[in-house]
Amino acid sequence: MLTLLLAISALCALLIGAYSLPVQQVGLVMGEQLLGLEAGLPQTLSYLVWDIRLPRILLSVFVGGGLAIAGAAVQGLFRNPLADPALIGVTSGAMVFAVAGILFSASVLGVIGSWLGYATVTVMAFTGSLLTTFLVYWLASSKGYTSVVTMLLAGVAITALGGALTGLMTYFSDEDELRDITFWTLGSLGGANWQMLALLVPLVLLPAIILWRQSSQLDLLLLGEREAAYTGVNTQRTKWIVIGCAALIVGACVAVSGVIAFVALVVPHLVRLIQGPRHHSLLLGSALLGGLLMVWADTAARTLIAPAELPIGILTALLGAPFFIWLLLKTKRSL
Amino acid sequence: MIEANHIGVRKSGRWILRKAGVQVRAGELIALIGANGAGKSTLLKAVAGEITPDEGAVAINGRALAAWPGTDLAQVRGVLSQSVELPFSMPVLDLVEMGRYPYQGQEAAAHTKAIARNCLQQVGLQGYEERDVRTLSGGEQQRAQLARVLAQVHRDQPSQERFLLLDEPTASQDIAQKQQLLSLLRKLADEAGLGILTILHDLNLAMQYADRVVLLRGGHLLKSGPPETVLTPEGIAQGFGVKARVVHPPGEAHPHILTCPTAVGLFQNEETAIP
Repeated sequence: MLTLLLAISALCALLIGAYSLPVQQVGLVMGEQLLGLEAGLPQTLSYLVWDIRLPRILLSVFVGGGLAIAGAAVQGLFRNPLADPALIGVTSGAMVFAVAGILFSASVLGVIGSWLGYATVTVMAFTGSLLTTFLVYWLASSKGYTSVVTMLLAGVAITALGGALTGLMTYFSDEDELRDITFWTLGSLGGANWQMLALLVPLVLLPAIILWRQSSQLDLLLLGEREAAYTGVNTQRTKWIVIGCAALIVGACVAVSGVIAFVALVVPHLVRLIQGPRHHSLLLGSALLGGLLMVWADTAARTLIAPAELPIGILTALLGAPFFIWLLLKTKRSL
Repeated sequence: MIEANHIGVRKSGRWILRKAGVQVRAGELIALIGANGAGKSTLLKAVAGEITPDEGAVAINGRALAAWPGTDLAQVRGVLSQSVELPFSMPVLDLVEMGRYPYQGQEAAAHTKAIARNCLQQVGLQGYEERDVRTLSGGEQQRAQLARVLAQVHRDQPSQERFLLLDEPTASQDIAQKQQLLSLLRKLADEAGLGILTILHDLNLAMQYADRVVLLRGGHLLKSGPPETVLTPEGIAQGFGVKARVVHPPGEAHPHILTCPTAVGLFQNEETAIP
């Protein structure tokens, strides 16, 4: 059902845009590219559909789905509906490194910067997110045991530190850098292309599958670590897998799209309301719904004020926050 | 058989359990009793494997606890903690099914469901399958959790001795449910051959249902044996600092314990409370 909706939405999104396209033309472009048909279409049309819209839509699917599945798994691990991968420092780490990348790519990081070129910020953000998560995990571990509560606290502290460092760098940046930083932190899927997808897809898909295979373990962790261990779950291993995979997914997503708020928090909530908290269906449902919502959010982002574009992070927060509040009010009694 | 010998557990440099031990054979119902802080929960956690004792060792079916792979151990011993809270809403049947985790991939989904339904019926929660766990009363939640633990050790053809370790399973039950619950445990021991070690506060229940009683005081093993030999006025006085009478009502199979309230007085601090 969700899969079908997602497919239809992706198709619709192909047609809608600053320049809306009739369905036959899009069909012909797909035919040309996939089946090698000779339809004799103008080059620009083919370029618009195949090289601009399609990668961007696929990117929305993977970023939205990735953020949502990571959010669902982390909420399960922390046994807390308010948990968000941002809490373990992934996002703030990405931010610090991305801003550093924007600021220093020309100077200090000169060699690497010129080699990576445009991808410097992306690579920096991904590295930053992983490093921060490992730092948080390490801070919360002693003698082979990782405390989930300490992890949350360390995450909050590291996030605050990251915010301060980002602020400091922002303060010392010039006009152009400031603009880049602002846009990066507001999130955008505008940079989508096939190379970016080729990098992102395995980084989202593989950890997502591994997470999904931990469904039963995550179910039992809802009862608490002690109960899960009594039932035969290797809790330390599950914690490590969930945090590692969530960090990979969110790190990769943030690196290509900047900060996109609320998807990881709200989508799992919605799915839980519909399908209950068992992770086998929750993780899958979150991935699909996350992708679905992101496709529509991005379509809105690129059409609402066309030909200009709204940063998608603003849009998701603008829609996500009131929706989340409505959800809170509606379920107040059962929370 | 569960063998826990000379168990010692230290917390912040202080021994909270010393030279305590318990043996549980298949088909036996053993009550672990003692005043609050006597070390009952600590001993139970050491037997369950949650705490690694600083002294002594625990073995189940002849194999040291640490040598058991997680899911294998879970198949032969289930543990019910005092209170388990769920962060999200969930149907009761789902909760009970989760107990079958150690058999994941080894049995059909329909079989898992059948076992879960059967366990719910045993704890008197038939008809509750689709109810949200979090809307149940405290006592019902506790029994739903017990059903989950029963599902965990359920075997159609048991190949090994199996055990239940229960921390105060009667805590939020009313007087009728307490009797029903202990009758269920008795039946599980007698008919399914489960070895059961349970913490109990109600000495009369221990007297009525247990094969043996283990009495702890101040982290030490005070007495252990058949209920009539441990739950004597002297035993109760030593273990709890309470004056009690043991009476034999005519026509009753088991003696009753009556505590005398006037002899207790106000709360005293630890040093003077335990002679």
